[in-house]
Amino acid sequence: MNFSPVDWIIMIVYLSITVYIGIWVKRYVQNLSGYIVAGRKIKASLGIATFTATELGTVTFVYFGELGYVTGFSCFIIGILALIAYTTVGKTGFIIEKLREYGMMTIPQFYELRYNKNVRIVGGLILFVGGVLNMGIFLKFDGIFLSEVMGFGPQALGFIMTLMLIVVMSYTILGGMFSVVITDFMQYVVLSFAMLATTIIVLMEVDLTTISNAVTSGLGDGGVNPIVNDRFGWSFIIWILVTNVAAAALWQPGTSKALASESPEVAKKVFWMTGLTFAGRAMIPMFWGVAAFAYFGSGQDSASAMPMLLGELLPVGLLGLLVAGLLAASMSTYSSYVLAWSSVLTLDVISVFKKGGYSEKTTIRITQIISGLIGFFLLIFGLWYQIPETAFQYIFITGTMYTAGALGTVTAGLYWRKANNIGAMCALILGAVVPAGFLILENYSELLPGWMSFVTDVNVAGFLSFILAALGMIVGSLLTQKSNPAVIINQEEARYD
Amino acid sequence: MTDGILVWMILFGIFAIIFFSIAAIVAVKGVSDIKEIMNDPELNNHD
Repeated sequence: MNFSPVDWIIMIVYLSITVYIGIWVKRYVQNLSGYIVAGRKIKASLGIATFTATELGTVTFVYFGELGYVTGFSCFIIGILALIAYTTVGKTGFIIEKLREYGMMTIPQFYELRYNKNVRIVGGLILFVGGVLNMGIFLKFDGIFLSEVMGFGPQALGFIMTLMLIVVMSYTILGGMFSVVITDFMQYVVLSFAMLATTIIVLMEVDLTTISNAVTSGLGDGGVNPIVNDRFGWSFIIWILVTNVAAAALWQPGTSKALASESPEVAKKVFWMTGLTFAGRAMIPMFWGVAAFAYFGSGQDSASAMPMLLGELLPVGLLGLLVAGLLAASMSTYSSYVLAWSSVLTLDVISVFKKGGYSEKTTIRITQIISGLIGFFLLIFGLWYQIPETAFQYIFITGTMYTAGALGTVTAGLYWRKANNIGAMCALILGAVVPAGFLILENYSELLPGWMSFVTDVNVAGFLSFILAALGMIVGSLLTQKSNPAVIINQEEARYD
Repeated sequence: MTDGILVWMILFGIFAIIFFSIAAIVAVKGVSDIKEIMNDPELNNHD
C-alpha cells in the first residue's frame, strides 16, 4: 500500500472541489450551443488548457509509459509526429478554420451541408462507433494505473473503474461543455505541476547514465532508432503522421474545442500552441516508462511497470497530488469524449430522422441519456476486452476507423469541387472497413491464408485505410459526376449558428 | 551514452521545457479568461 492518509486527503479534497465546480457551472448553460460548444465563448488560454487536458488522461500516461518501457527512446518519434501534425493544422487552419467559419458543432453536420443527409447519418454512426470503441479501454487502463500506483493490486480494478465513472458522469451529464472547460483548466494546471515534480524526482532517482546503459544493452538499436524497431518502421511513421493530421483537424473531442473558440483566428491559435505542447505530452510519460525499464529490467507487465515505478519513488503528498491530477485528467478526457460522442449520435443520427428535429431541451436530454449509456458500455467493455498489440496501437486503429474516411470526405468537400455524395460514402465506408477488419481478424490470425496476413499487421491496416478512403473518394466521385452532381456550398447560407 | 540517446535526451529536455512553460503562461492567463466568461452578460441570465 503506497498511499498514505495525507495522499488520501489531497485526492479527496481535490476531487470534491472539481465535482462541485463542474456542477455549479451548469448555471451558465443557456441553450444547446452552450451545452455542446460552451456558447462559443472560449478564448485562447482556456482553449489551450482544455484541449491539452482533453488529450491527456491517465490512459495517455499508461500507453505512453508502456511504449517507453517496451521500445525505449525510439517511441519519442511519436511526440515529434504529433508536434508536426498539430502545429501544421494550427498554422495553416487546414479544415478547422473553415468548419469554425461555418459555425459547425459536429463534423458530420458538414457532411449534410456539402453532401446529403445520408452521408451525415453514415458518417455520424461511424464516428460514434469508432469513438466509443476508442475510449473502450480508457477505464481499464486507468484502473490498472491507479491500482498499481496506489498499491491496491489488480483486485481493486472493478471498484476503481465504477467509482471513477460515477464521478465523471455526474458533472458531464449535468453541465456540458462549460463544466468540461472550467474543470479542464484546473486539471491542466494541477497535472502540469505534478508532472514537473515527478520528472525531477524520477531524474534524481534513476540517473541518465543508468537509463542509457539499460536501453543500449537491453533494447539495442531498436531502443533508439524507430526505423529499425520491430513495432515501428516506415509504415508506422507515415500512418501515425497522417492519422495525427486527421485527428488534429477532425477528432470530435479535440475539434470541438476549435468549434467552441471565440473566432476562427482563436481556433488556429489554440491548435498551434497546443501542438507545441504535444511533443512534451508524449515524451514526459515515455521517459518515465524508459526509466521504469532501467529501474526494474524487462520482466514486468508492460502496462504496469511505469505506474509501479511512480508508486515506489514518489514521496508522500506528491503521490496524492499526482493521482488527484491524473484522476482529474481522466475525468476531463472522459467528459470531453462522452460529450463529443453523445452529441454526434444525437445531432447527426437520431435528430436527423425526426422531421424538423427535436427541441433544444429534448436534444440536451437525449444527449444526457446517451452519455449515461456510453458510461455503462465503458464499464462492461473495459472489464471484458483483451487489447491486441499495445494500447497505443489499439487507440490509433480505432481512431482510424473514423479519421481515414473523414479526412478524405472533409478535405475533398472543402477543397475539391468535384467531390460528391457517392465519393463521400465510399471514403467513409472503405476507411472504416480495414480497421474494423483488423479488430475482428486479429483474434483469428492463425486461421487466415498467408496472403491475407497483412490485415493483421496494425501498421499496414492503419496505413491502408487512408489510401482506400482517398481512392474511394476520387474514384466514386469521378464515376458518378453526371448522376450525382456535386453540391456547392453557399457561403452566405452555410452558417449553422 | 550513444549519439542517438544523446539526441533524444536533448529533444526531451527542449520539449519538456516548452510543455511546462506554456502550462505556466496558460495558468496565469486562463484565470482572467474564466473571469471574463463568468461576467459575460449573455451567460449571466440565470432566470
